[in-house]
Amino acid sequence: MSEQHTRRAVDIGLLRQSTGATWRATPVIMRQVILALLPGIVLYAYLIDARVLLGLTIAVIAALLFEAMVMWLRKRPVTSRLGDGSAAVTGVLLALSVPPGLPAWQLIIGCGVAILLAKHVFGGLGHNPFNPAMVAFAVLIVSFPVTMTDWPMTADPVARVALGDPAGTWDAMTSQTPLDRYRAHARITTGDTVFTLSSPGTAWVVIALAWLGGGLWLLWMRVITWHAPVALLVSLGTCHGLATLISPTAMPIGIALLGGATLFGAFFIVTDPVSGAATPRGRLLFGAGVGVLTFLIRQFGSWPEGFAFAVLIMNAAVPLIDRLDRPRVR
Amino acid sequence: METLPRISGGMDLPRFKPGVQHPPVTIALPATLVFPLIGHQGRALQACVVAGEHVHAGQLLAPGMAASAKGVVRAIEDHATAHPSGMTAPSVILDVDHTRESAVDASSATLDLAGIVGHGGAGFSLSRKLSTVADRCRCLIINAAECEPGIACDESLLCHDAGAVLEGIKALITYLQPEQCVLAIESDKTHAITSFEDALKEGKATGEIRVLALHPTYPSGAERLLVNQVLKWQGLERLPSHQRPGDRGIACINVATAHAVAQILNTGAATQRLVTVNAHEACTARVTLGTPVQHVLDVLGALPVGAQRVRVGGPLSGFELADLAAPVLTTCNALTVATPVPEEPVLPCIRCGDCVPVCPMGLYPQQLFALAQAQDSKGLQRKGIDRCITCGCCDIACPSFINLTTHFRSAQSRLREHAETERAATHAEALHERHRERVARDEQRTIPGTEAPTRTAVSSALSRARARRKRSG
Ligand code: SF4
Ligand code: SF4
Repeated sequence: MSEQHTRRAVDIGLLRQSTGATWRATPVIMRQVILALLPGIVLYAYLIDARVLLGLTIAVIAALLFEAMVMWLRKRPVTSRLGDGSAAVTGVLLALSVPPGLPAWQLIIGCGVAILLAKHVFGGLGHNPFNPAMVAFAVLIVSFPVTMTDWPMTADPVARVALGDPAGTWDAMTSQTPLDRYRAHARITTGDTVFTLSSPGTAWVVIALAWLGGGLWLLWMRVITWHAPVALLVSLGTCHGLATLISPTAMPIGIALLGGATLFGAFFIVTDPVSGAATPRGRLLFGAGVGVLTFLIRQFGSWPEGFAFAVLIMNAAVPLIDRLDRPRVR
Repeated sequence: METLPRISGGMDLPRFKPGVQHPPVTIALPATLVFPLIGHQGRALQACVVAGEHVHAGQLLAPGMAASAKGVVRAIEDHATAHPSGMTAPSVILDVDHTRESAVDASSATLDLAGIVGHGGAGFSLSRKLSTVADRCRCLIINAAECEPGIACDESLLCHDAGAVLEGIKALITYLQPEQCVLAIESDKTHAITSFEDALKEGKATGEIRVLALHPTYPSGAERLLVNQVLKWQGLERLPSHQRPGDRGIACINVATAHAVAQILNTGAATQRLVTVNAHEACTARVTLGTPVQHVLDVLGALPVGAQRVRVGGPLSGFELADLAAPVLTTCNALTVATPVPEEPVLPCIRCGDCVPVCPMGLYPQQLFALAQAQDSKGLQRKGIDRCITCGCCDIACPSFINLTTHFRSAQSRLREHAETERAATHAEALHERHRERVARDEQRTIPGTEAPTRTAVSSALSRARARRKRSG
């Protein structure tokens, strides 16, 4: 028997490999997350605004530079940490969460907030209690409320027809994600106008479905688990369902789930391992909490999109969830 | 034969079972044997022999440790041991007497179990294990599962010496009188199963001992998991976390231990065990207990060269041997000679949770790890650290290459030590408390103002006592 054979009795690395698709190193996970985002990014650039590609490039480079800077300041090996890909993922997620037309300097500030404030102040990869991209989003939307709600109005006839706005009077409105449009519309329409919006606009639906596809691929590759996304979608759907029953002018479920950041957030934000819960039951709780809070903020808050704030609040609750969730020891 | 369902958690590791095809190679007795005076969980043993004493095979050198050959005690001194920490320990060094052993009167050999230490992983004393279930044994489980890759000594034992194993099991059945006896083995060890079933037929014990086939998942053979699987098969409630198998009248005994029982019955002493040796050629070696690893490898021509190191046990539960002079003892199931693979650099925990579903005990390794790093003993206990069987599944699953099991092992031993000192402290405190009470009582009894008893006081007390005795007499 050769040395190669004997190695099987000592090498835990070989055992890792033997467990096949279920196991991969942390850097590989990060790469797979980016891969899963690609279809959505391409569709986004094609259907909505190609400037998103520029934003992505700027955000990734800025995130990596900030990461390298911190690593250098903290006197840690720079290359190994850039290789783990988590900074790049943060940059990508942030760039996809903000309007594509956000000025570059604001985006760069966002990246700085994400990497420096949200991540390294707490000790770097694995130690940040809050999702860096969501922290940056929250800081940006508070600091630059105008540019942060400046969503592009596209030639989206379906959406316009669905909004009952054939004349295109909505062009004057600047906040234009389906959710923003909906809210703006709901604010203007008087009580007797029957609101007929049933579709949040095909382009956004297509992209939402691309996020869904990428998320399902990550599930299939076992990069993420189903618990948090399903809990989020179920709780959000239930809340909106109940709301429609109570008041007919409430946002329909279809928009609630396909519009805004819902699917993107369900598969790429609440599944962030570091700032989320780490056990199956904890993840169910976490996802459900984000769903309920998102609904509450959307319905009763003054921000157009409550998702980031909901995630941050639940991030803060994770230590509590961890503490409550006792293992059922076998 | 019946097949049990897969355990939840655990991992389906490659089934690498070297050296089972050929019969075991007997390693000749070395010049000296070494018996470290350490018992279960590192407890120190007190030697009951002295230097220069002649001992015979099977004679106790210390409680729970029997000599495995005839010889003269050369010294009791520090010697290398096969311990993960590479520590030395006081050991009985025995110069082997190579003249033929005077035949032991096997007929008079009773089942003297004092010297048998379990041949499974934990090295639990067999007599103690049996005493916990004596008179109320409901089920005797013979554990022939060996789920870690690279270890195949139990399989080899069943393939090549099933008759002796059966004999040992029968002796245990006679002793314990269990209501039921099962032999648990992974379903893919077909050769071993056939071999044992043949032995059963020959020994006319087919009805007496059932063969249960486990799903070959690591670590399905771990005692607690195995007991729970058998309980489930029997349609019973599984062990709650505070219960031990013995509390439910279950004895779980390793197949190699059963073989050791047979050795005692036949020769008066359990002197040997099988060891899987993975070297350039894999084989199973029959080694006399106490033989230095050096000697075993030398005889097989497998001494490590260059960067090669010797590993005791498998890739998960094992450790690298620091000193080849360390002896093979009952818990040593495999020796591997290979060049160690450099470990991957450890990355921070990203809380991915991959370690959670693989834990066979249903623990949350990620949380345990965080608590262990924070040295939060209370939290660790609340999250069930003492239930961790240090199987290593979470290590394999972790994408950040964290040696979780190593952390858990040291946390466990730290907590155990802590509990030990705590107990000692409470005991000392109780003693102190009692002492203070007594002093206070004495103080109360002395009349205020009077000093310590004076000479006159003593003599008057004596005269009073004398007067009383006279009265009663
Ligand atoms: S080593 Fe402990 S915590 Fe890790 S999988 Fe095994 S039992 Fe669970
Ligand atoms: S598998 Fe490793 S990185 Fe993932 S949660 Fe467990 S300890 Fe952390």
